[in-house]
Amino acid sequence: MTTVRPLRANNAVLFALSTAIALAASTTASAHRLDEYLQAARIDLQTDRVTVDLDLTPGAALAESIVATIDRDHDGVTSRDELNAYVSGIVSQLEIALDGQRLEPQLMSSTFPAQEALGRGEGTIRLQVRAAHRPLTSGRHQLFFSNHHFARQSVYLANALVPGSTRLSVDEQRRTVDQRELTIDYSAGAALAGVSSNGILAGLVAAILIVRYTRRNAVRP
Amino acid sequence: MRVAAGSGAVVFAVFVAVVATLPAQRGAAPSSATASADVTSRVVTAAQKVLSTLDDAGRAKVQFPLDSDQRTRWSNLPTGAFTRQGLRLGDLTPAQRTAAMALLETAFSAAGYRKVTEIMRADDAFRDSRSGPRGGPPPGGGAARGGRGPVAFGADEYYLAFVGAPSTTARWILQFGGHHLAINMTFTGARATLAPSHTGAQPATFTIEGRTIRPLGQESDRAFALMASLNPEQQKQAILPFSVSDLVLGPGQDGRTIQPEGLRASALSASQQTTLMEIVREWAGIAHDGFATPRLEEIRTNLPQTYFAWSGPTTPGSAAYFRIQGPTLVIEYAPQRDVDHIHTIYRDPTNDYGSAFARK
Repeated sequence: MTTVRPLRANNAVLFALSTAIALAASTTASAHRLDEYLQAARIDLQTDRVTVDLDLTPGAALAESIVATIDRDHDGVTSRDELNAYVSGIVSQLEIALDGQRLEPQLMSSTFPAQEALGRGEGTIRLQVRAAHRPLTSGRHQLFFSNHHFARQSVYLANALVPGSTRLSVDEQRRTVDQRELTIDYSAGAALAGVSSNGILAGLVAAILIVRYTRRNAVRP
Repeated sequence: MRVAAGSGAVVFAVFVAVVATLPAQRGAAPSSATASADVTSRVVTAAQKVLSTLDDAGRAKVQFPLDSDQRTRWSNLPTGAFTRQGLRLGDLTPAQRTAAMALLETAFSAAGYRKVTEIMRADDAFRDSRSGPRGGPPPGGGAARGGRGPVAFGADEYYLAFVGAPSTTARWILQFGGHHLAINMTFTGARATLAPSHTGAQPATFTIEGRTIRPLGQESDRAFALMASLNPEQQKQAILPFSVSDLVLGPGQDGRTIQPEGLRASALSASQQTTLMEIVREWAGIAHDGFATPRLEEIRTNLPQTYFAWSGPTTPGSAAYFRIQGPTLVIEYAPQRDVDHIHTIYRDPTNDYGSAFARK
């Protein structure tokens, strides 16, 4: 069972977004993104789940539009409920499937940047999403990931992390040209749980013997 | 990879034996270790000279505990968009600033020091292009300090910090950064690593007194030269068939290792491998030669497991992304939509912030 951390909306809960963004836009000619929404997904494959860290950085010219999307009642402030709704909307636009079977992504955590940074196109909204699945069987598997959020003006990064489990290995990654969709072919090996403590002990003894033999031979003329 | 349960003991035994009989791969060889220790000693002396120019308040500003959050607090962003702590160059007296820059000159190679100072001068040029030479804050804004208020650019907006006390034996980090620069140089006795560090530039090309400056020009030129040297089959493997619009493992991505892609360096000719190492040197070689030489040797040893990947046009001067990734190395070079705004990252997934040094 997974637990869901409460949203950390912090400074973003009650900010006067329109004013802040207008101010930020007037005082900075941002050196960074303007009219693109950068969405970077890093995908951690595990034996019984998939974890996606999604970093979303709207460009300065898009910030007002993003904020308008968040501020559903258009009262100039964003409430926690509005932020929750926005994040839930993003999660619902993610598609994760394992071996052709669609998985259910669950939001694990999210953080929002300060409003000034968002307005400058330098603030990143960070989400962590998890999709549980049955323990992998040995053999080849395929994970499909797709992100449909704010598609018309977004640029994407999507990458598999090197699996933390030695049972798993990534064979190939295939993406659409814009990286909005990523397919990961990977393999699961047999569980190592069957290696007994006697086996490990035997391995250690053998290793010591090999090292001693190697060193003895190394010093002989 | 599949491992049958019954063969586990044998595999384990062979692994332990191989590890036990391998020579130490990380750090300097004994002969060069002495030279590196001498560099560390000079760096520590230079750091102590900086401290000696400061009053108590200044020392409190520059010095952080080794286990503090300051270790990972760095960014590509300018002051005003990101809160940096440490000594702000613009707040220093001439003597203090001279001591700070002398410290950097001691810790870095000549090429590395030049690169770092050129990145700072690029930020001067960027500031001037926005508000006129020495024109003060941008229109509508006041002075920005420490991440509050409008953004501020220029060489005054770079910060120096020591994470851990400067020492010839214990681990400590020399941090120096600002817009488009984050140097995190971790020392442990005779060893030092620059991972993770960020370089960048905007403008990427500018002139000072008629001289053209390109802080990250060699990185780009050498990478295009390597691409031009690849045959069609090599290019096919190196070129990623998708666009990469930013760093994948930039600031804030500590501890992550992405699956490598692209062309294995083992498929390169000796000449091409030499060019690849020249590209790597543009990052690893920021450090003083006493530290860069063993680091480059380590990377060269790992070339068979190292990948070179490319995304974008191959015509020299184009905006193209590239990545070099091996067991102990990640380099990314990412134009931000055009060639005049570059972000790069340099990491060692096994030794960021000297974590491997700490385990020894």
